[in-house]
Amino acid sequence: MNKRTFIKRVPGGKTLQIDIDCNERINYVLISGDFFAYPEDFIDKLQEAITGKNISEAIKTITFLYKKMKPELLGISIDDIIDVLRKACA
Amino acid sequence: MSWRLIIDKGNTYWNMAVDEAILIHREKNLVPNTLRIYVFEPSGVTIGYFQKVREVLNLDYLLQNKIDFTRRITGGGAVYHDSEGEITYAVIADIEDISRDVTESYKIICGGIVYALRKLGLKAVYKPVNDILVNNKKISGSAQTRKKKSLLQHGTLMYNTNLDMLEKTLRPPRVKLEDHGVVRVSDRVTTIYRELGREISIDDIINTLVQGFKKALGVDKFLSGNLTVSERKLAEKLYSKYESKVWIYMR
Repeated sequence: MNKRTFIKRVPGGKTLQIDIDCNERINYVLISGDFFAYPEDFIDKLQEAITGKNISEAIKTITFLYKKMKPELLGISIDDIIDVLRKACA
Repeated sequence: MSWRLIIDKGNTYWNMAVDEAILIHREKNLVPNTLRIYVFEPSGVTIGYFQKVREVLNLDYLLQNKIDFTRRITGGGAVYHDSEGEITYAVIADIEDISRDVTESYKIICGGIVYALRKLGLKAVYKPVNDILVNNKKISGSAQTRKKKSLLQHGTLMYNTNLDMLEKTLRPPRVKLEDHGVVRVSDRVTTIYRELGREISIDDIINTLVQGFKKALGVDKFLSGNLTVSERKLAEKLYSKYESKVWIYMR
């Protein structure tokens, strides 16, 4: 496994950290930080849902899950998560 | 509307177990809205639900010094709860009695602390979403979780926190420090005693805090109470979750 860590400090917000192993597919992903998510299990479900997918499938999955669960994120946004994932898998 | 007021103390696992037990009972409408004010005895550390334990805590130091630490069910950051320098509060209430809007509910509840600090003579400022500052330094932080009908918001109020201990137990990410424009943790947090330049009694702080919440939450009356038998039983069960490695090292 080739795990790497990406950290984004959202201006005026919180810290988002993504530990990821990504080649053609996302083999492993862990999202952490001092942000808030309502409901909290959105983050757990998102991690589960994108594992095993390539980056474009993963982004589609995130968008779908986001629309379905309508979570409220404080301190980070869904675009921050997508942004870091894109960089991590580039 | 009258609320239940519980003032107590406990260790790190018990305190987190009690907050969750009350929330679950409030959700089922088995207990009234509750303000709990409590102390960590002995001192302990809690981290936010989404935090990576190894990333944010000095585990070597905590383990060597046998300081309890656990993960909260609420998001947010890591906290050092000093048994002789920090008071923790928990508001457990029907969402409709506070606000459906998450950001607004943080503001309303934090308003109680701001009110109390101002009453004590400090120029406290609410910094969205979950901080309260005095002289541009953090004196209180809060975190909220929600179920369908009820919310739990708990948070800190530092009156004489040992800032050296805080710095030894927590490991803030470098990016965060740079963003705040300072290097040391103790440069960006402060306490009531430090800001007032004198000590005041803990009873006075607690009484002022209760007054603050009464005003901020529109409470008619606080009735002193205890946990119900059912809440206590559930807290005993949840205790083992909070001390388990599976829970603590989840991230």
